Amino acid sequence: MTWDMLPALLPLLALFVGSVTVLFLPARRALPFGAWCGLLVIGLIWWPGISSEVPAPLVSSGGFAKVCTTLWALIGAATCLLANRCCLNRRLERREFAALILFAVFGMAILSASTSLVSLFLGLEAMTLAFYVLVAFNRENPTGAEAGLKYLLPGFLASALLSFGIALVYAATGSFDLPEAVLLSAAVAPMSSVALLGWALILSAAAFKASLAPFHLWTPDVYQGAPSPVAGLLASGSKGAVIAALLGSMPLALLDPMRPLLAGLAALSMIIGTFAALPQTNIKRMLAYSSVVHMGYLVLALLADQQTGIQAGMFYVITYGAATVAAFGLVASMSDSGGEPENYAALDGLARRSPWRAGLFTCVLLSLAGFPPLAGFMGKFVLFGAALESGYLWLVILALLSSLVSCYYYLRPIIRMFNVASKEGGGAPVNGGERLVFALCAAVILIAGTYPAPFFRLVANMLP
Amino acid sequence: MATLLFYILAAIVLMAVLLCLTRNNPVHAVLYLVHALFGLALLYFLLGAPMLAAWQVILYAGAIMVLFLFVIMLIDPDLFEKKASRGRFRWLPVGFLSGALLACGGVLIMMDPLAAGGIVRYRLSPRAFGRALFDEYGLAVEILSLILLFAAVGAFHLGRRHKGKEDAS
Repeated sequence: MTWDMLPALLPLLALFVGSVTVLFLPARRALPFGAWCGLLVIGLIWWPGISSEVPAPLVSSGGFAKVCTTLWALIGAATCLLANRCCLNRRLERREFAALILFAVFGMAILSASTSLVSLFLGLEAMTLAFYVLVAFNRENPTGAEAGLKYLLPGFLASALLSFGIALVYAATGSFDLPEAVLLSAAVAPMSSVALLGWALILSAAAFKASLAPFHLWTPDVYQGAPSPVAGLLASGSKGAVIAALLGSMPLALLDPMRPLLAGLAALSMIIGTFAALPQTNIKRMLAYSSVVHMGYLVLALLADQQTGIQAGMFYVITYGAATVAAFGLVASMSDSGGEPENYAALDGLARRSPWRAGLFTCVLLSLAGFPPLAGFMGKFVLFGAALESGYLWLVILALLSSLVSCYYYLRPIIRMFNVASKEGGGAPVNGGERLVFALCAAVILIAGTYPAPFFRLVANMLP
Repeated sequence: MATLLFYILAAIVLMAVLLCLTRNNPVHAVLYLVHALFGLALLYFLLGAPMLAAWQVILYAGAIMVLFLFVIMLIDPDLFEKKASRGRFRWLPVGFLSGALLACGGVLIMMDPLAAGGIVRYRLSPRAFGRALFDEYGLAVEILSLILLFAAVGAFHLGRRHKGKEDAS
C-alpha cells in the first residue's frame, strides 16, 4: 500500500473514520452526523478533483464500485434519519446505532467493490458483524434477542461455507483474484469437481445472505424482531450488496454447472416466497417473504449476459431499495414507545388518519407488486427482458405468475388502509428527516417508473 | 511412510472432532478440540509447512483454547462437578489420542517430511509470508483490524448493564 492509493480508498476511509468519530459525539448529534457522513462519502466519490488513478489492491474503484458505494451510503444515511424516532421512543443508544450503521455501509462498500475472494469474505464479515448487533440492538425486546440469535447462527454457517468454498476454489485455481478465478475454472472443461464444490459453497453462502430459498428460513423472524430501520437496511442494502458482488465481480453464469443451480434458487425463491407471503397478517413478515421473491427475480440478472445483467440487476436493486426503505421507514414512523405497528389491523383507516402516509404506503406496495406507472414495473420489465434474451423463458413465465399472485398480498394491506375507518387519532406527525427520506423514495419510485432514462444512464456507468 | 502417517493423523483428527461434538462436559469437549487442532498442526508439518504448523499450535491449540476455557469457567463453574463422568475407562479415549499424537509427532521429527513427499512448491519462508501479509494483502489486514474493533464495540453495547442507558438529552 502506498500513498498513491489514498484517493481510491478515500470513500472507505471516510466511512470508517465517520463510524469511529460518531462514538465520541453527544448522543443527540449522532444520527444526523451519520446521515451527513453518508452524504460526505458520496461527495468524495464523485468530486472531480479526486482522481483514483492508482488502483488499490483487493477493492476496485471503477464505475461499478462508485455507483454501488453511492447507493449504500444513501441508504445508510436514510436509515440514520429514519432511526431517530425509534431510538428516542425506545431509549436506544444513538451513538452505537449510528456507528454500526456506518460500519455496515463500510462492509457493503467493500463487498460490492471486491476484486478478490479475500476482500469478498472480509466485506461480508464486516457487514454481517454490524448487523448481528443492529438486529438485537433493542436488548429489552425479547423478539429482538431471538432475531439476533436467528441471524447469528445462519450467519456463522454461511461464513463457514464461504471460507471452505474459497479454500477449495483456491486449491483448484491457485488464484484469489475474482474474475480470474472464475475464468480459470471455466477454462477447464469439464470443470474440476473441487472447483465446482467450491463455487457451489460460495454461492450457497451468498444465498444465505441474500435469503434465497431454501436458505431463507431466518428472514421473517429477523425482520420481525429487528428495529424497522435496521430491517430496511438489511433488506435493501445488505442483500443489494451481495447481489452486486455476484453481478459485478463473480460471473458465475460463465460456469456451466452453476446455471441450473442459479435457476433452481430463483425458481424456489419465487414459489416458496410467494406462497409463504400469502397468509401473512404481519407487515414485516409479509415484506420479508416478499423480499425472498424479489431476490429470486434478481437471480435472473445473474443468469443473463453480464453487461445486460449488470444494467438490469442494478436498476432493479435501485427500485427495490427505494420501495423497501420507504416501506420499513413508514412502519418505523408509525411506531410509538409501545412498539411498532406490526399487524394489518394497525393499518385500519390509515387513509383517514394520515393520508400522506397511506398514499406513500400504497405507492410503495403497488411498486413492489409491479403496477405500470411505478418503478417496480419498469424494473421487472428490464429484468425479465434480460432473462428472456438469455433464453430462460420458463423462469420468466414463473416470475410473471408469481408477480400476478403477489398482487394479492400487496393489495391486502392497501384495502385495510382505505376500507375500515375504525381507529381514532392521527398518529404522531412525520418529522423532518423522515419527510426527506420519504420524498426521496417517492421521487425515485415515480421518476424511475415514468422517465427512467437518468437511472439507465447511471447504471450504464457501471459497465466495465 | 508419509502416506500412512497422513491417514493415521487424519483418523485421529476426525475421532477427536467427533468426540468433541458428542461430549456433555464442555471442558472435555475443549480438550478434544485441542487434540484435533494439534493433529492438524502435525498434518501441516507433514505437508512441508513448518511455520503454519507452529502457528497452529501457538494460536489455536494455545491461545484460543485457553480463551475457550476461560469463557466456560466464567459462565458456569459448577458444570464440572455435575457432569463429571464415571467409570474405570473414562481416561481411555483421551489417553489413546494423546499417545497417538505424541507418537506421530516423534516419528515426524525423526523423518524429514520434505524428503518423504512434502509439497515443496508451496513452502514459504517467514520473510515471503510477511511480505505478502503486509504488502499484497495489507489492506485486508487493515480491514480485519477494523472488524475486530467493531466486534468490540458491538460486544460492549450488547454486554452493558441495562441501567447504563444513554442519558436523556
